[in-house]
Amino acid sequence: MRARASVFGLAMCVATSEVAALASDGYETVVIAPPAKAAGETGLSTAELRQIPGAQGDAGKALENLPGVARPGLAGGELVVWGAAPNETRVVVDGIEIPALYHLGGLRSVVHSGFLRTLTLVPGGYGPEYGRGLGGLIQMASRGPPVEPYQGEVNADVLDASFAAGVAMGNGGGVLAAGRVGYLDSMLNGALSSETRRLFPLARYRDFQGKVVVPLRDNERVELIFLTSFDASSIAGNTATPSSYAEQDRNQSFSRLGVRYVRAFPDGSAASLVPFVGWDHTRRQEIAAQGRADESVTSNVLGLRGEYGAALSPRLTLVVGFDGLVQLANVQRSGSPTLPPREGDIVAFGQPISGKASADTWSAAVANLAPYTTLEITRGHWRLLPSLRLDGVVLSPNRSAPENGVTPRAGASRLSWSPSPRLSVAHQTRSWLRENLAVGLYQQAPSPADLGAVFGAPTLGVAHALHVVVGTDIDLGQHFTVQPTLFYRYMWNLVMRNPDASPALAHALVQDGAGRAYGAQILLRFSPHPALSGWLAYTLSRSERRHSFESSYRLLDQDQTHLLTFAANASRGGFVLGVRFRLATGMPRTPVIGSYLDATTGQFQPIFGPQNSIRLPVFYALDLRAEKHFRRRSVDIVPYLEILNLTNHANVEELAYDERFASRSNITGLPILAVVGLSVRF
Amino acid sequence: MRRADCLAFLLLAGCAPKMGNPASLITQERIIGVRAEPAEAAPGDLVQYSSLVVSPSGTVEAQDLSWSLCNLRKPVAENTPVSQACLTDDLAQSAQGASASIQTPSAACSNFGPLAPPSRSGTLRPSDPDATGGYYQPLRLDLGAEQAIFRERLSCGLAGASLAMSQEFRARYTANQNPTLASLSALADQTPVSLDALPASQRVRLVATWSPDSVESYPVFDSVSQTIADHREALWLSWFATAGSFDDSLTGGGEGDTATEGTWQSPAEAEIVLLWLVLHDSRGGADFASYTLTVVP
Repeated sequence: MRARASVFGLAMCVATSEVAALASDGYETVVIAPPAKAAGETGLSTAELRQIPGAQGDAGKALENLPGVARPGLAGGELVVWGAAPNETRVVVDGIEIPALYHLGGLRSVVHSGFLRTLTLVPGGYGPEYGRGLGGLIQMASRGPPVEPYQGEVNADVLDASFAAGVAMGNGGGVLAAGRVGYLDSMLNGALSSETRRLFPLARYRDFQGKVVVPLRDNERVELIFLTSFDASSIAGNTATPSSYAEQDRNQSFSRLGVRYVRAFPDGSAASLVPFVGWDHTRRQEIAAQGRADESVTSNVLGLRGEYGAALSPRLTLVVGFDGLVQLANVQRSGSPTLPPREGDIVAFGQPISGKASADTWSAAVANLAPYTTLEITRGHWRLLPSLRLDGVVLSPNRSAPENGVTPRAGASRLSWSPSPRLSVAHQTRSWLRENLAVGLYQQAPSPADLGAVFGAPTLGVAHALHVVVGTDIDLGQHFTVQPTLFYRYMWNLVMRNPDASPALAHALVQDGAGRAYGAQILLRFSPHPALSGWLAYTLSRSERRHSFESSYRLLDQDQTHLLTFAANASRGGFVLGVRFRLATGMPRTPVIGSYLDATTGQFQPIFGPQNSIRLPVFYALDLRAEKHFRRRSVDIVPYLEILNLTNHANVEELAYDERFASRSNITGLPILAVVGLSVRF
Repeated sequence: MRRADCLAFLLLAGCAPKMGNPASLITQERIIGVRAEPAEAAPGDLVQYSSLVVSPSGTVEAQDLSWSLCNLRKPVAENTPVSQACLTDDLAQSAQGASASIQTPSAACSNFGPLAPPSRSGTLRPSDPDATGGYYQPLRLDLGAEQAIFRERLSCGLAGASLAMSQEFRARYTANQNPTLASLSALADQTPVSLDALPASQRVRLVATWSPDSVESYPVFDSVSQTIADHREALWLSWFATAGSFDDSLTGGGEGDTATEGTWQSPAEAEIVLLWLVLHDSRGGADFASYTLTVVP
């Protein structure tokens, strides 16, 4: 498997994963601390990730412990990678792009860990086969069919119940299915006041994944993949007092249906083709006595990803491919122009929603069609991967100006081509030492929700980023690896709210923003004994944004200077004991330096100081996880206990103000807490 | 936060703290209400403004109260009812005293209304209306360190409507009138009690009513569907007292309601408590009333 993978090179993620996936990997395969592949890239097996304390067996949740990933805030679910805003990082499952990694609230990821073989985090500098994002990349690779006739697992804990099962059908073919139903919302329904639920809306969530693998000839197969997720949270029944929401509803759903064709040829070349269709829906509705805000986005998604790689000579490999995604969105929006909030908004927790109310409906097509090619050149200890991705972006909102009486609607379509050259270089200095460099340009088209004439700007174009990543892989014997990495990301043409008091018509958003994120991280991975493995990760970073080239930088809303994570697992005699320690700088907040009475409504409003000029206190927590494996015939029964925040440290998750914004206090997070769960694997 | 909430919420995100004095408790001199007459004005109209300034010793005739028109537009990016600059910038004083007569600026409808401000660089974005379709001229009140903003509703017409729709809207629209508070009554343990003899250490239900004609109907233009729909005003009440505590400092808000109820925890000992009510309607109208409550052992 490794020999084949090497044909396609260091950074050819698709080619590598496709060929690797040709081998069946039964559920018992546990890869302990595999070596990292590219600068800053961290790939882990789901088996390893699932044993990290605090994740309740969810590999996607455990991803938050990897270097470069900021700790999410109170509401959860926001993946901030190397200082990129959450909407700038892309998530793909077997090459199929999905809109979110986590369910609403961030309690769970949207793909069951039992469905997955590996998760790979590429915080920056990834190859040309992926795009449409200025930030990082999360790649999830699904399992192959089981080796045994059938395998599966059933899990239950305080959050949800789930299953994952696979049936082998011969010749490497088979069926996989997994799903999850959350019930925490039902359990706590009625026990929580609307005030409490506003702080942390509990989502009803469920997800399902299915995969049918049909082998064709040798090293050739077709897979049918289905992914779906549904989230809804609702706070209703509250009295419509002016100082509180009468109703708050959020929905987030998506479905994807794709076919993946993979073939490895006898000459070492390989091809893959992944067409997929999908449907996305998000809705956020808030109703208060002062007004309401409602945003609904429904999109049909068409995607196609194809790739062919072949060795031209022993030292030269050519990969050509295509990555396309078309999004046809219908958007309805009404209410405050500043709701839902976006990065850079200055707002105090609990601040009354603005009474301003506009309304608009529009549709927009956003298409990204990107052919790409990579040449892998191997010479001595050097490996070079120059590549070019040509991003063609079509932006077609159906209205270029707000509705105005009987004036006919007029849309606008624009096509732009942005070349995205990228280069990855690796040098094997010693058998134990390898240096990596990745540099490249990245693009991101605006969201269809930003292309409205009232709430956004139909003229928005593509935002750009430059990634520079320099790293070293050091193998300290068989059991220790050290991976120091430096990163720098510069972004321009970022979409921001228009700061002008008198903006031009249909320019509520502008594209004058710029940003930079830079820092260093070090990852020490260890497995001194087959029964002991883990890592120590530290990231030092700073992420800043500015409204225009004339304005000064301010911190990103989710910036965290220091991120320290220690995670380790030890097993003996059926016991697995895990420990995790996390320390993170608190996120920036804008201080409230005064307040005033809005005598028209009777509510108080804050007066803000400099944007993001204070921070929440430092977060730290020690978590433990213990699980015991009981083997009964062919059934593995695994009860587990997690103790979160063992030191009972009162971590501050948010700043709260009184009604008059005259005094400030802290909303604290988890106290010491025990979580139990049970997994039955067969 | 209730104990059950905390126990359940421990699982997720801990508890939110209760802190500070509630907005309803008067412990110092404060501006608590402003009323304009007329409640809705066209550019150039002279408007008579009156304030309600209170202190623990009673209603204050605030001769030092400064009134300043703020003609700064609110950026779309700001999440507040008026531009932050209206609070932080030096503004020219328009009047001083407990009440003031101020002329509505002639450019009010282009500054804060549906008419886009004049520009040489293309069409500018008009101001966004509120949920009632209203546009407002901000006015800042300063009393020492105390600041308040009042927004006078403007008669400006519609944005984004056809001529026929604008004419229909004008025919159906009636300028806002200030509401009128009618009565206040009290109940303790479901039993009516006199405001002169409220029991100490009790949860007292105070019921305020306003005149039925305070709840006006008004049309709202929907720019998306290009239709006009009639709505009834919602009214809500701000409660202020020199002692005791209210569960909510604002109550009401249901469209068409003519009464609201505030739950007040009376002080533990007998005392005279001053109570002020400020009634707001959803189109910016207001009314005030003050009461003296006698708490008995």
